[in-house]
Amino acid sequence: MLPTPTSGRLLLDTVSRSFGALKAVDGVSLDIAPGEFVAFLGPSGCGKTTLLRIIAGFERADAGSLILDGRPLTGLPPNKRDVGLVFQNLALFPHLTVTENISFGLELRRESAPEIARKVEEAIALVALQGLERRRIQQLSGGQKQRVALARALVLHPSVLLLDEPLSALDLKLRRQLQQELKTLQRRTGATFVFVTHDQEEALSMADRVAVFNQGRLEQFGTPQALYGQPASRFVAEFVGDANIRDAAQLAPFGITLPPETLLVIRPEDCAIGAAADAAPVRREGTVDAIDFIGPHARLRLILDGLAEPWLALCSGSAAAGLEVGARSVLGFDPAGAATLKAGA
Amino acid sequence: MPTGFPTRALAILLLILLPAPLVIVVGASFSPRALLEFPPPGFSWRWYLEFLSTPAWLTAFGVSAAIALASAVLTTLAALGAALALQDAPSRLRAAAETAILAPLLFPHAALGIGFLGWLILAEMNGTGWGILIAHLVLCAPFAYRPIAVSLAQIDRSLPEAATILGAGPGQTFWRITLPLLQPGIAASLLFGFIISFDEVTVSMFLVGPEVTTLPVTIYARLNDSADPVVAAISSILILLTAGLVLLMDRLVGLRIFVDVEEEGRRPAA
Repeated sequence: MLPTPTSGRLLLDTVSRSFGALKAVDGVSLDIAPGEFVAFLGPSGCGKTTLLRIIAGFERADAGSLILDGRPLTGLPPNKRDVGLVFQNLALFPHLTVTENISFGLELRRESAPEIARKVEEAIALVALQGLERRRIQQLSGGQKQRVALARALVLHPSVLLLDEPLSALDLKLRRQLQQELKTLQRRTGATFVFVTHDQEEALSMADRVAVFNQGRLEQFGTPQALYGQPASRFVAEFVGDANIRDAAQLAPFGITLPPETLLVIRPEDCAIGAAADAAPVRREGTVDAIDFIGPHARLRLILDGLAEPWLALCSGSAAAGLEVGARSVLGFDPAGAATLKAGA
Repeated sequence: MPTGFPTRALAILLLILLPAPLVIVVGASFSPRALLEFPPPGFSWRWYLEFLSTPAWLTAFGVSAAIALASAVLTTLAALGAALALQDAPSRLRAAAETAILAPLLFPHAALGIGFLGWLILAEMNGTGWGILIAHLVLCAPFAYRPIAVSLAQIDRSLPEAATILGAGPGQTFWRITLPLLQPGIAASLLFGFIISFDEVTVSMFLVGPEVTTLPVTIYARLNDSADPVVAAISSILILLTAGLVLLMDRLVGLRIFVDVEEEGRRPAA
């Protein structure tokens, strides 16, 4: 039986923070639902970590308000916010054992010894660390440290758990595994998770909704499907997956007319190559400029006749068989299925 | 570091030279005759008994031990406060304060001795234990501040933040996280402070009086008029005492901390 999330609703209203002339966080408003898994996505320096630290209480906001479950957070120190944080470097206490790290917060709350023991045991079971209770932090592997950090934060049952790129130091395989575990943990605890990452694949695969940041501003807040299918800005379209973004002039040779100030976002996987392009409503011949075989797929770059901007296409390996750099081929797509953007957005 | 013949030869030479004085001192202390000579012409505990039965020696030993203990504890507390306060200070203020704390390393001890004497006469504290203690606090400060500041710099800044987000107030964070992690630096500071104060001769020589004198000053004065082996016996006791302190530190916090503290200090700040 999964707990029904009742707490952990986090409201951000036009939160801003400047460092000198730099607007690190610029008028961000977000409404995060109880029990939601939200990812803050963006390139480094986009303000996502600053915003996380503002929610945690380690940075103050110059303007705007934060409300957690109806309680304004402004002015509350980090230790009074009912917010958990998993640090990028985990920040485990090196002089304490696994158990002592996890029980740290419970002891500060002056809970009874049997109660602490019960909760620590529960948390250790939750992150599958049984048998390592008495280990020191230096004696743990990267993945085990990760779990201790999670258990230490989750044992206090915070309404919101903030995670600051906690998986970035791990190798790819372990990372994938822990992404799954995090997702499961989040469902089992019912806590709201806010996960900061610069890895778009990680954000899209884990989060219920993704907030994309650029230069301190919130570009878009939506489900992974919405972000990918209906990007709100050129930045989102380019940051989340690859895209061919074309204006009216660039599409005129295809016989497509676009309203002025509009851009079309054509995803590489929506571009057909060779014989497959015959069925596409619009197509154009060109020369293969580059080709990468990635597992079952092939990623192509084509210079279409009379067009300066190269086109990206993703097709099955078999469709690309026989193609090589310099070969002639056809690229086709369906403009009706492509998302549109306002130019300048 | 190349480890060719010259380097090894130098290392071997050092390993021979380092303990060489100790062998002479310890050996000479067991001489039955009233002359400092090596090798000793026989074996006796005569000079150890002489030390233990002479109230002046014991008093000087007691004074030195008391001043060294007080110096070690007080400079460590002061250095802890200074390091914590300077950690987040503007870099100019920090640099100025650190220069002031480390300044006693730059001046000749004889000059410092004259300076302290001048001030202590003004304060009418010359020739008192308090006067010597004040001078030793200044002399020990650099050796207390550095290991503690280095230990503090080694503490990941996210650790106190982690304690805070888990519910700890500033005091709880200090007692439960910062202080335990400073333990190597504090141990080094206490040990350095004690040994430096206990061994100090030059500055103390200016500050002792007819009422109060320290053990190293008494040894030096004794060597000026006679060369009997009681000095060697006392020195041997001091060697034993220091070795005991170092071993105790090793048991308590591990001797590696001295190596680690020094190595970390040389690393460029990240």
